[in-house]
Amino acid sequence: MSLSLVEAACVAVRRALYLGADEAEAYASRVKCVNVDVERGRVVGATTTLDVGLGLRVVVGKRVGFAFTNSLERDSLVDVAERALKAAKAAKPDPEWPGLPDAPTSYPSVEGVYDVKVPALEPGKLVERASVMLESALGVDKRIRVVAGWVYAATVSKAVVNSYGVYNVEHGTYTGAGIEVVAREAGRSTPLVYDFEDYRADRVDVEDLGRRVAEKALSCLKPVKVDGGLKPVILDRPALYRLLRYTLVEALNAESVHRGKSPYAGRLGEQVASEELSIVDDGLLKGGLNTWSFDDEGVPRQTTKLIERGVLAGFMYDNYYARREGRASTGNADRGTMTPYATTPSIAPTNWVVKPGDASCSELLEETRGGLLVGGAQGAHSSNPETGEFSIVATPAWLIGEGGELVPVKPVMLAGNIYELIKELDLAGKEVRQLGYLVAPPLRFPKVRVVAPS
Amino acid sequence: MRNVLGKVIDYALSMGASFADVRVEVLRESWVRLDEGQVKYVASGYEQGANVRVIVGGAWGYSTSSSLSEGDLRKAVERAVAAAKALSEVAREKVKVVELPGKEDYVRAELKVNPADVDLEVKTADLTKLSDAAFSYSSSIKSVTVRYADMTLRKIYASSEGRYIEQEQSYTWLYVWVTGKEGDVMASAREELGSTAGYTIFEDRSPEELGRLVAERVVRQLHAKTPKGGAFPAVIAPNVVGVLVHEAFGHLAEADLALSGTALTGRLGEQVASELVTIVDDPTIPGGFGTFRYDDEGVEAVKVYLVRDGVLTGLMHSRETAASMGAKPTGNARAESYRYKPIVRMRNTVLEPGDYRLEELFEGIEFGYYLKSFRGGQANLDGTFQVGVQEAYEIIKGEVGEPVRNMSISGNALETLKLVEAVGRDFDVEYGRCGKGQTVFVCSGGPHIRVKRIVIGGEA
Repeated sequence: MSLSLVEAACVAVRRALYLGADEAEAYASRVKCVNVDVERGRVVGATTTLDVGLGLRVVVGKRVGFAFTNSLERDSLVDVAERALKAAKAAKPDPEWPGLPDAPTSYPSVEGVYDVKVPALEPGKLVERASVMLESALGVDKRIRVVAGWVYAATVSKAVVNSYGVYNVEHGTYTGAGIEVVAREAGRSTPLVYDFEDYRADRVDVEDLGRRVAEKALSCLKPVKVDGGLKPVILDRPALYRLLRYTLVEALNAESVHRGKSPYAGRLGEQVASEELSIVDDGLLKGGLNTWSFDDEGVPRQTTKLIERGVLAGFMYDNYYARREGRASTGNADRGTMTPYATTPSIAPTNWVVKPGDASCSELLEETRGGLLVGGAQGAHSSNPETGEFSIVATPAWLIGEGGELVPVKPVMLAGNIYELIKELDLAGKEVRQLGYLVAPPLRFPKVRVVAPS
Repeated sequence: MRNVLGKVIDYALSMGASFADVRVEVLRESWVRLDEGQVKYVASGYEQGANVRVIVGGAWGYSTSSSLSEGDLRKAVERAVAAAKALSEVAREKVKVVELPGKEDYVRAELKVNPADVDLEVKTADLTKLSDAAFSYSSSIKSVTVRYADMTLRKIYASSEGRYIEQEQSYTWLYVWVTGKEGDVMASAREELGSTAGYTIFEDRSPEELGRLVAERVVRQLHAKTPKGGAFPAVIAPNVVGVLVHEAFGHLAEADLALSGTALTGRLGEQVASELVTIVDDPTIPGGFGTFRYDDEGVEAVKVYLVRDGVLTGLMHSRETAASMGAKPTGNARAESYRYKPIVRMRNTVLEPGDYRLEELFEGIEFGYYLKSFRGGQANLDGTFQVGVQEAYEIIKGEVGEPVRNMSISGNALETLKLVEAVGRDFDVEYGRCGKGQTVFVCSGGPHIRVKRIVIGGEA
């Protein structure tokens, strides 16, 4: 009879305390995922993955040790407790260690995070969807090549138990699909054009996704050269998602602030961006991709204002960085998605909701004539989160013509400083979509430095 | 386990599989991370799991399971077969793999110092010495990050051909990253070490010596001049030769990528490099990260001559790519862990040494650069690459001169290999990792070489 996640977590925590730990916390997760891959224009493989595991943090005299296992059998849980204590003995005492989270009085309830249809999705169904997505893309035009794609469905369960009484388990579902496409004509190829969608419920319209991405790729054929200079630029979600991830997300992380790596240290209450920009980290967003009622160390999730009408309003905290400052955690502790039980938590965004504006798509384009619409940002990972400097290749990208029409352009570089750029944000779209952590409209910046290759 | 796997494979065959294999892994690991001298993370891990692959109706089905009980492995087979059956209804082409004769083999790891026998306290103490030595080397040093991991694995492979292979493997890995600042000038340097013999990474250099080595690299860059941009002759050390041979060239010769289209597609038998160039992907280099007897498809790992005297003579294969191209599998199929399916990966990818003594390589260079150690890089399937160089010097009239910072080199792998003028008789490999959607440990290297011309850029 195998133990449930929360039973396994209790066994591990009790054992750790019995062996002499002052504090202990067990995080246990179970993921079942069915994934279908598309490669080079064919559906190539269907995989079902079942991964279960437990990570145990123990503290002995302010020394923190960690051990993990992916077997929930009793003897493996006893072993993980022993190993965690050994790891703690090898660690140095952390004089700032504030203790593991206390048990909260209650947890919030969240909606739109579990769809009963998802666990029942069989590989056959997903293979069919991958085929539909593939055929839909290829059917748009014979110049389309599908480079890669995927369709998946996953069910996730997480439990956190600690020696202060934190005790909770929650379940969630995910489905999604993505496709990467190029269009080829006369020996030339467009850059890779991609899009992906993820939901908490069974909602992906794969036929629409395949067709839309193929049409976008077609619209990139016969790109024109564009001059460099200062231009108005609309950054669409895939570009924002990457650019902000390596800059603003780091700057609003309390750990960066503490380590002297954030330009926003000590500046709460200051105007750091234009009034058009408001960002809330919403761990409770209905149907949000990162919505759960508790974070990865059992602290209740919440809604945290980060930037309000351009004024710096807050940072993202986990228990460690919050309690050191005498504050409460904002519930941003995260262990990632790959093998969450194999790591200790660190601060990450939940759902960053960027307040939309009033502009419809066509209004945005009309207001940005002569400028660029940017659909992706390559090289965002080498941005400097401390200074805000970035230098990305904008691809795919389009020039917005006099009538608001889109003309594909050869890849250009955009360079600048993101912390200066957000001060100049002057127009936001009204339609919002979620891509990973980011729930945002397209954003228009009036003056961005465009560097064209010579 | 042998009995259980036999039954599980028979079960797969009874459900309609024409080919089935199971990979089981049991792994014990330690991880330590230090930032700024603080031990941020000390962890001990245990992971077990199985990966089941089947071919049913000409299509692949895969499933993974972290439970190794017979019942759960049978369920994993059912899931894999269901996945394959679903796919076989829409698949346009049937999958073919090269099948091999049945055999049984047991491969033991040869450990000098079993990392499982070394207390975590000893490891954290050594790493702290390393970190402290780097930090205290100079007031210009601003941050020091040290990451350490060791893994001891027992892997079992069983297939419907009647193969049963057990292998023990051990990886010990160390990564150091140091940054420094003086005035407006910032610099950073790294060092990456590995061993398959266990906790022997401090045999050649003590933790303190290593810490000082990396810090010194940073300080040297802080005081160095920036390079002239342009194309220059260069003497390239094994560390950088490795990255050219693995990153810039090696991926082009992975058969799965070559089948999609790389700069080497369709060019077997053609001259692709200077005649002085011979590049091998070698699974026999003693102690190499890419050294093993059988790959993750249970296939015997053999040396692959990718380039011999400048001619493209081979590609690296998995069972499936070999079947596609009518070639023999080479034992290059590797997976990061049981959670992943094996794909074509490199092992120990090296340039073979030649005849020149080191001094001879520098002779006759009026002005050029000596590229000693790299920091990071990127390469594309058309052969274009860009590599950051963290330790480099000017060469003036055949002599090594002043250090240079913020240097990067770029170009096209095939063009650069055509410009190799001389190949040294020394040899060294460096230990590292390779990502391709899933990470594996690899070695790369070679001797010092001289190239007629390489493009040097500023801003590494």
